[in-house]
Amino acid sequence: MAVPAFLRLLFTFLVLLCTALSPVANAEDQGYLQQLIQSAHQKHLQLRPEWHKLLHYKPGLLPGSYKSQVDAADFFFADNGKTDPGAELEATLAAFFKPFPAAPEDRHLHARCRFIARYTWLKQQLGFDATRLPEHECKRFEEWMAALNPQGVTLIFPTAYINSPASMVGHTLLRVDTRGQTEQTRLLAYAINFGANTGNDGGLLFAMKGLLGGYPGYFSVLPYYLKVREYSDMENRDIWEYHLTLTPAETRTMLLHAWEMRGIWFDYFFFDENCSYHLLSLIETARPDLELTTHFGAWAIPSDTVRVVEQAGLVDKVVYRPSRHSVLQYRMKGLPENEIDTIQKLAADDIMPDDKAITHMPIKQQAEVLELAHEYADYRHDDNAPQLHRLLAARSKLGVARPRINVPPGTRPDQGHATGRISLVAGHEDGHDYQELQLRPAYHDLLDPAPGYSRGAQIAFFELGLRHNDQTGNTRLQYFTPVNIISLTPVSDISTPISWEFNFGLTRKHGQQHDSMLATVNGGVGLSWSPLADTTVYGLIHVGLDAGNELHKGYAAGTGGAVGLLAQMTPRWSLQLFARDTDYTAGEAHNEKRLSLEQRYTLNKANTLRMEWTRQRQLGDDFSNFNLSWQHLM
Amino acid sequence: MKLKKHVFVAALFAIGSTSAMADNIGECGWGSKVFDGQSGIAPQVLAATTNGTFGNQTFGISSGTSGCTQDGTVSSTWQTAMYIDGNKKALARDTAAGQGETLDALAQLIGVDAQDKAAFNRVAQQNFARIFPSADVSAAQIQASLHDVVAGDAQLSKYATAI
Repeated sequence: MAVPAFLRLLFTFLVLLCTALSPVANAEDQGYLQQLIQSAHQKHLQLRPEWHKLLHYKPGLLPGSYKSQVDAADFFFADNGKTDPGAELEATLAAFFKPFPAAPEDRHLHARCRFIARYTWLKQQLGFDATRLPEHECKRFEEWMAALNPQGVTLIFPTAYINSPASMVGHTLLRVDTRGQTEQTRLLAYAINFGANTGNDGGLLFAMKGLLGGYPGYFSVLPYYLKVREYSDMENRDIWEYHLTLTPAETRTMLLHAWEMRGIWFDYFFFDENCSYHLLSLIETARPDLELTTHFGAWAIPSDTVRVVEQAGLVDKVVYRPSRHSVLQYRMKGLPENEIDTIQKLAADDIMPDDKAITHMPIKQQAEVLELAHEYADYRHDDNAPQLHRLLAARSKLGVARPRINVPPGTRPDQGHATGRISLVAGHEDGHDYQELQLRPAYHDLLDPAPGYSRGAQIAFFELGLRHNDQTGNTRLQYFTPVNIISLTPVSDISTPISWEFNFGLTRKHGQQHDSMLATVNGGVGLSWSPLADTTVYGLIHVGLDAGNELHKGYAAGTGGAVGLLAQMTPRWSLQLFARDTDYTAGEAHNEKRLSLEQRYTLNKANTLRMEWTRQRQLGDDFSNFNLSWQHLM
Repeated sequence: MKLKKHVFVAALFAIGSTSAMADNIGECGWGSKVFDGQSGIAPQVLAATTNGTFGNQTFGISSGTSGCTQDGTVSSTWQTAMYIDGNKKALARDTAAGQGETLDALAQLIGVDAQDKAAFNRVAQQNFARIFPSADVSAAQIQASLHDVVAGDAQLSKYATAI
């Protein structure tokens, strides 16, 4: 019997409908998918470190649980992909079976191209059968790789902003070194950077959101020269370049994952999941056995991340790239007075390049004077573009080439002392003995050994001291200071930076009846000078606020000043002498004074001894303190 | 006669197209986007590490292509123009001084051979006033002038087409 035409039509329609609706085109595909999933489970691929690194899984709160640090939803195929490595693996495999887009411009969004590192690894582990899961070219990825032309990777560390020792915490980014790259052509490479997208926020909002994960953090790829212009020229930061031992194949493996991070974001936390941390999470995908992020929990300090990379045996060469300011400072040092004078006059536009004072100099000296006047003028003054151009034009007419300048590098930032510190103190205060245990998780204070850190800079986070008083037998919290920053940058020939300090926390102040625990906030500004090498003299004026129940009216506020001297006497021995006076005029009116001499002697990079003598007046009467301590840096 | 006219027109066309590309640098160049930085009195430590300087995100799945960049990388036809635009001041410094890393990298970009590098530096320095005629010269103008200077030098003219 012939099938009625309309039934045939209906049947055809239904077949077509089913074909159009099913996400996996046919039963055979489904079968192969299930086979792969089974194989994956047999091999426990969802437990493998490679899978966890690609998905950024970290152990969760409950034992055996996991949570990915990635916060962008489109990073996961499974609904519970953020917390279930197995489900995510299955959903990823399923996604590979989705039809490959016909439109060429959409193909980079298909799972096997968008998540090419996952695809490559799973294919290698499971042995995809090309007849059952067809291969496809990922053209856009290959174009990107061709532009990067990768050979290896260098970890880049820009250090402190000039005049901002507090920024010595620094930053890290990666540079993808190209095939055939030389020292002269490294500017042409691309950089991979992880940073927060902070919009136009500033001030306190910027600080709060940065601390609490209020900004999304993204990876970006951009020409390295843009970063050099930003860091070296605009911000005057020295750059350290740590070349990594990753082979071209390992570099490619890492870049497979970098590609996956396009448009993917993490909540950015200034302390722990910051620029340096996520760079490690990228680097560690280069080799199966690399575990770099596991060293970091509550915080990740950039120099510590560099240390970890080094300790993993990943660094084979380090290059120092001085900032414009460092070069200028180096070249100006040791020049004869009259030459400096001429340079300054030229820079201030008081004399012209065609002035006899300059044209009578030997050609090479003229060249130097014009170059330095240009650098000095650019650094020191604003809105002087025409003058700068004049200086360059005059310089170009001299026809000699600038000699290569080699600024001697200081200590590498990763070779300074370790950032954590524990101290054991034995002291005598106001007639009784005490012992104190002090902890400072991070980072560096004015008297810690200087090499690798900016001079005159102090950044201390979450310092605390526990004191045992022999007389009362009590052991109590003596102080807890979440933030304590001091920035002393000396005035120089080329700039007049502001020195400043800021701290807040809880501290015990010596009262009349007993010691009271007060909340304190202090902030100050001033200037510093460096009359001799390795010596800093400073003067600051400050405002202070103390709050506590034991104060009259519950608070005391006032202003005051401090003068101090910081000196390195020998490479191992440094001291700080300061006098501080604060007049609390509001709330509980009183006067506070402190005269202190603290000395530090370095035994080795991890151990120092200190001796401190203080004469103070706080809430009660005047008293003295003398203590000795051993500090262990770890 | 006709042949010469064709050659002349063709030559005009060639120069024209280079300039046209250089003129478009306005849309494609880094310009002020680059230095749209964080200002304000944020704690300097935070400013140093959050590093949100480049608000222009070019490494995303949707914002991938702008014609000049794709997924953060610069297309080859735009490389020289964007390099000049991103390094204007440093190039001026190096050109005036007759040598420097930024100038070296530009030479590399346009394919100058090792034995011609010294000549390139010298010729650039001699022609500083022509390549950088004023303080506010645009990247497009710099590129066009550099092209002409290189084209006009017997030893270096073979590199002019790359500029």
